Amino acid sequence: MKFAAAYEQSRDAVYGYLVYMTRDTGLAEDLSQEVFLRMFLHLGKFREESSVRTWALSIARNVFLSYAKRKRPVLLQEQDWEPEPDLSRNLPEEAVLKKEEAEAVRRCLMCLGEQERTVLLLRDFQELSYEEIARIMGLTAEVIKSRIYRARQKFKEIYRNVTDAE
Amino acid sequence: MESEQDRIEIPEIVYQGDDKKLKERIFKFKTGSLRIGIFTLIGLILGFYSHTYVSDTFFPTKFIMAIPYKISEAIYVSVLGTDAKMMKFWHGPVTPNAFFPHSWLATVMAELVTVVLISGAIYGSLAYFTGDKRIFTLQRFLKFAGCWCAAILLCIGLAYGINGKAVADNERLQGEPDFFLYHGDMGGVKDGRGFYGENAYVLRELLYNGLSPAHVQRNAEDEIPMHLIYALSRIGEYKVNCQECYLVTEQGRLYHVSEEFAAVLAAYYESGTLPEGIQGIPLESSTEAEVETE
Amino acid sequence: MKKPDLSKFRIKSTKDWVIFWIFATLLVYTLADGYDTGIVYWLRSVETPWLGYVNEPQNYGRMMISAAVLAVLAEAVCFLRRKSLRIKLAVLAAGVLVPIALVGMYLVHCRLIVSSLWQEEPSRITIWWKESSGGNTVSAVLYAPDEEEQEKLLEYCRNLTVVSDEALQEEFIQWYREADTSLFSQNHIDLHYPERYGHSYSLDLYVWGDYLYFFRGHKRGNGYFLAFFEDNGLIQYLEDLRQEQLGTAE
Repeated sequence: MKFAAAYEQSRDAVYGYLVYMTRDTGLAEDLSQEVFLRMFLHLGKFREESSVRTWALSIARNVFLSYAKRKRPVLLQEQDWEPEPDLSRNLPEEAVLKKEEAEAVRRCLMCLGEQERTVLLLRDFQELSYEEIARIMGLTAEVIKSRIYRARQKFKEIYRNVTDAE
Repeated sequence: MESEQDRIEIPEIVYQGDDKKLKERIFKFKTGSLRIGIFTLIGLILGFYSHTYVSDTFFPTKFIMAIPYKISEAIYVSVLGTDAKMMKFWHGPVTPNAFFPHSWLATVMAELVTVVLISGAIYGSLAYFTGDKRIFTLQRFLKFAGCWCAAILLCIGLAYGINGKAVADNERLQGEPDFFLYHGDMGGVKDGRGFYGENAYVLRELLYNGLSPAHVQRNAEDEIPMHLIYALSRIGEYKVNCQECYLVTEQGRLYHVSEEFAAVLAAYYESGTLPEGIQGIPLESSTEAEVETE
Repeated sequence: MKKPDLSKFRIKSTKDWVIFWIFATLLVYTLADGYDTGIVYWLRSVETPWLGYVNEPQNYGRMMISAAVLAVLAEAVCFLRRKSLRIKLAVLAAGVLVPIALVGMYLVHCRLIVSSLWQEEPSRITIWWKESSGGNTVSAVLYAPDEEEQEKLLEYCRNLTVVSDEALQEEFIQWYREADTSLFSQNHIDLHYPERYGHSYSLDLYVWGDYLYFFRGHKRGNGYFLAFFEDNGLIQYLEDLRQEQLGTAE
């Protein structure tokens, strides 16, 4: 497989995952660079036992974890809800609503721990199978299923509390 | 069973920026690797000329050029040690200050090849330290350094291996050597001369014809020195007692030599010339024998 | 055919330019060794006749070659990076002026080394008298003069005049080619000075008839650089000393 094709298949998946994990587009870009460098260097070892996207996300998770452990351990933990500044200036109402909703989802995700965030993103955002998620996280599919269930419950509770409060 | 209602709607994120930005590290990795390659190549060239520091009088360049050579010297001479000390009689064909005086090939490995590798490693490492730290991380550097260390260790091993074989072969007088004979008097050696190729033919015949292992009591006072030069400039140092007709190697192995050979050696030591017919191809074996005149 | 991607060879940062020039200088300086023989011979032809190859300052030829090559390299870089004409001319001027300045420095350095003869006391004066045996020179007798004799010898040496008569030089060189000029073949006097300006200095004068000569080194095509001097009484003084010490004439 050529790198150009692997890149095209995994670019948005990797970037999106890292944006949600870091809540910082600049940092996500930086970490994505590292992910694609590692893909470039180890492409020869990729045996196509899984899809390219799964492999890329596995690297992305490792890159994120390395970074977070060394530089920002707070990204691994559950964080308190923080109100967001008003984003409505100069945007039409529908766009503002969509933007606010997306921002709320991001902030709710940050209120979860790293593992919960990861399983939700890989399942509901990247639409990977339980087996693929299990391969990335080094767990069994059964464990992944139960974690996804618990993560969703927790997310919904946080989201409900936030929207009710607002 | 999971249903669609259970799934959380997470908004899609598409990368809006330039792909070049995401591939930036790959490009930098490629240019950085090229940089490391160029630095290493320069290091290899400068390592090849490292020994020229001796004749350089400008201190900054002298210092820089000397580094790889001195590191090699420290490894071989100070840390590991060489068998230069074994050579008792630094004269004639024996190169002073050679790392491995018994073997020119081992000396080349030590004084040239190892130096070139050390220099390549140093300059390549310099490229790492001055490169992009995000890409050329300590972990990657350690792998790089590990490869160079392995290559240098292999080279060092080869040098010692070649020298070890040379010394072992010298002990068994293996090969078809040329001769370096000495003449002198009671006060010691005065001068010496080499007999090479065809001029050593008869000496070789005389030496090997009577050669056999011996168990005798050495009488070192009456021993006179002799060097044998084998192929690839392998040099062996020997002592011959011409009265008792034995030869002793550097490590003390004793061999009987023929009386004819002992007589020739004694004659040369005394007079500085070989008896007639000893130099060149023997008169009876050639119709156009050329006996070299002194 | 695909055009090669030269962008990865482009040197971008100042740091890398500094490293490039350091490496280029090292490489050129290293490789220049061994190619400076012609320049060394030429320098020897223009330097003071009182200096021999043993005491010559080293590496000037190498530095001149390095400066010229680096100037060519810098000029090439200027063209590739489309620098202004002013900069290109400045680099060209540097490439010409630096070697010229090095020649000037070399000549000054030579004169400074040689100045020891007139400004300092020698650390050692040795006289060698040829000792013949049945017509074949066998060895020489060494003599270390005392203080008074040293003063006299020094005065003679300091006041020697270099012979510039070309016909005489030719005659001498003809003799020199065929003569035995090994160490003990003629009487000679050696003055040795300790290190000054980075080099020691020694004046090794051999006697030839009514003249004294000094071997300065080789020149291209198996020739020699020789300086020779008119006798101002030094030869007779050496002979007088010999008679006094050895009681024999040459």
